Amino acid sequence: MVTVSELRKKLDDKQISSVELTKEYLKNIKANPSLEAYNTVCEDEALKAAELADKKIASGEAMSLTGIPLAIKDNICTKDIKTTCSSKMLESYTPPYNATVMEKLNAQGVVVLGKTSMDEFAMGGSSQTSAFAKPKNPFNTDCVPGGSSGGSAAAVAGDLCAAALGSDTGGSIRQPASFCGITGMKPTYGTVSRFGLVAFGSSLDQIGPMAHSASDCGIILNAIAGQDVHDRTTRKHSIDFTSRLGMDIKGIKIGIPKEFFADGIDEEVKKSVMSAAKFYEGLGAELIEVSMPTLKYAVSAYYLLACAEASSNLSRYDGVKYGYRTDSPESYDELIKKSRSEGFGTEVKRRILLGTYALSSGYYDAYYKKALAVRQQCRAEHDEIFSKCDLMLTPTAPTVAYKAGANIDDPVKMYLADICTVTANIAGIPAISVPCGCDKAGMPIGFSLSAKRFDDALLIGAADVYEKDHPHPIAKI
Amino acid sequence: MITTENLKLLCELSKLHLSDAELLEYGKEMTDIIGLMDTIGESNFEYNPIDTANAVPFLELRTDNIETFDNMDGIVERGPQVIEHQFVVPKIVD
Repeated sequence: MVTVSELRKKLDDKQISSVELTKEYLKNIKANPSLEAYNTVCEDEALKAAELADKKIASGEAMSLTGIPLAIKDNICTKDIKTTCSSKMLESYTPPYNATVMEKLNAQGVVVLGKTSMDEFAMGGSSQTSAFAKPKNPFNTDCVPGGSSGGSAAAVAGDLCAAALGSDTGGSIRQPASFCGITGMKPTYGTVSRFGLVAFGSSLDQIGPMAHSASDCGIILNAIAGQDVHDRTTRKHSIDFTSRLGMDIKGIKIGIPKEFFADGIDEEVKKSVMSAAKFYEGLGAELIEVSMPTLKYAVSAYYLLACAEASSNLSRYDGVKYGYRTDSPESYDELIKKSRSEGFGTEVKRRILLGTYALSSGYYDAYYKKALAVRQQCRAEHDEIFSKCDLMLTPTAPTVAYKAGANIDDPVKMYLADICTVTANIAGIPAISVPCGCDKAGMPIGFSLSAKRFDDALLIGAADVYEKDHPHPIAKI
Repeated sequence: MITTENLKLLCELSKLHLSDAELLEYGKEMTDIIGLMDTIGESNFEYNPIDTANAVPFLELRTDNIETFDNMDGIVERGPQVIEHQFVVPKIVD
C-alpha cells in the first residue's frame, strides 16, 4: 500500500505519471469486483483529469493532491456524476453542482475514480443497507467492511484508490476504518463544509478523510477544510493539520474513560487498545483514568437526535423535484406516500418513523428534549475531561468486523454497536481511528483518539507517532 | 408498546405507506427500539437552551453575500416529470 505522501513524491519525481497511476487503480477496481466498493466508476472522467494533472505537474504547478486518485462516498454531490446515496430514491440523480469539498479537491487537480457504496442515506454500520453494491471487507470478503462509509474503507484497504472521502454522523468514518485496517478521521464539527453532502443529521454530519496514514488524513484535511459561505456552521481557521507530525509525546496526558472498557467490549479489542495506550505511556505520556457517566445514555440520545433530524431532512424526497417517482399516482398525497414508500429502504423508513415519533406531540419532551439535555451534559463531560487531558483513547468499535447478514434483522443490537463512536458526534469533537493489530482470525482492530474541539492537528500528530512504529495490517486480496 | 394504530399515525405524519404485513413487522421492531430509547428517561439532566447556545463556539456569523445561481435549468431538468420547464404533479382539484 502506498500513501498519498509517497505518491506525491513519485509524481513530482516523474517516477510515475498520474495517467499511469490512475490506470493502475482502475485495473485494481476491475480485478476486484467482488469487493463491490463502488456504485459508480468514472473511468473516462478519471483519465481526463489525470491528463490535466500531468500537465499541471509538468508545469510546476502541482499542489499536494494534484494527480492523486481518490474515491468519494456516494452521498457527496459531484457535478455530472451520479450521486445515489445507495438508495433507489436517488438511483438516477445526477447533481447539477459540486459539494464544496469537491470544488476544493478539483481546484487541487485530484483524480476522482468513482463514487463508493455506503449504507442507504448513511444509515447503518455495515454498508449492507445499500440498495446497490454491498461492499465486502478486503480482509475477509465474508465479513462487512463496516459503515456507513464501508465502500470508501474497502476501496482504501483493497488498494482500489489512494485515499477516500467518507462522512461521519455517528461513527461512519471511524468504525469502517477500524474494520478495514485503515486510518479514518471525523474532524471537529464546523471544520469541513457540509454544503453538497446529502443531509442525514445536520448537527452531527461531518465529511472526513479515510487513508493509509494519519499523515495522509492531514494532507486531505488541509485541502478540504475551511469556512464556506454555503455552510454557516463552518469556522474560519488557519490550522495546518500536518503541523504536529513528528511531535513529542512526552508529557501528553491521555484520558482512559473506564466506561469504554466495560462489558460488551470484546476482550481481544480491549487488550489491543490498551497495548496502544501503553505504547504512548512508554513514550512518556501520562495515562489518566477518567469517567464519562453519560455514555449509558449516548446511544439513545444519538438515535433520537439523528433520527429526528433525518425525519425532517428526508421530507424533501416527495417525488416531485428530483428522485424516484411512483407510477400512476391517483392523487398528490398518494404520489408523495407511494414515492417515499417505494424509494426508501427498510432502515431509512424505520429511522424516519422513529424521528417522527420523537418529535411528535406528547413525546417531544420525553424524547427529543431529553436527548438535547444528554447532549449538553455529554459536552460538559468532554470539556471536563479535556481540562485535565490532551487526548482521550478508546476502542473504535466493540468488536471486529462481523459476517455479512449478522445483526441486519436486529436493529437494537445494530444501534448498540455504535456505543464507542457516537459521543464524538454528540459533542462535536474530532476523533481519529488508527489500526492497532488484528484478532486471532486476522481481522483488524482499531483504537480511537479524540481531543477538544479544533485540536484536530494534535490528533493527527499523535496518531502518526503510533503509526510510525506500528504499520497498518495489509489485506490479503 | 407501539400499537398498529400508533404506527399508522406515524406513517401518516411521515408520508409513508406500509402494508399490513409491514405494519406488523415494523410494529415489533419499533417497540424494541423505543424500549432502548426509553433508557434516556432514567437520566436526570435538564435541558438549558441558553447553555447550548453558549457551548457552541463555531457559530461565527458570516457576512451575508447575495449569490446568483445560474443553473436553475439544470435543477428543473432533473425533475422526474417536467413539461415546459415546470415540475408536473397530479391534479389536486379537478
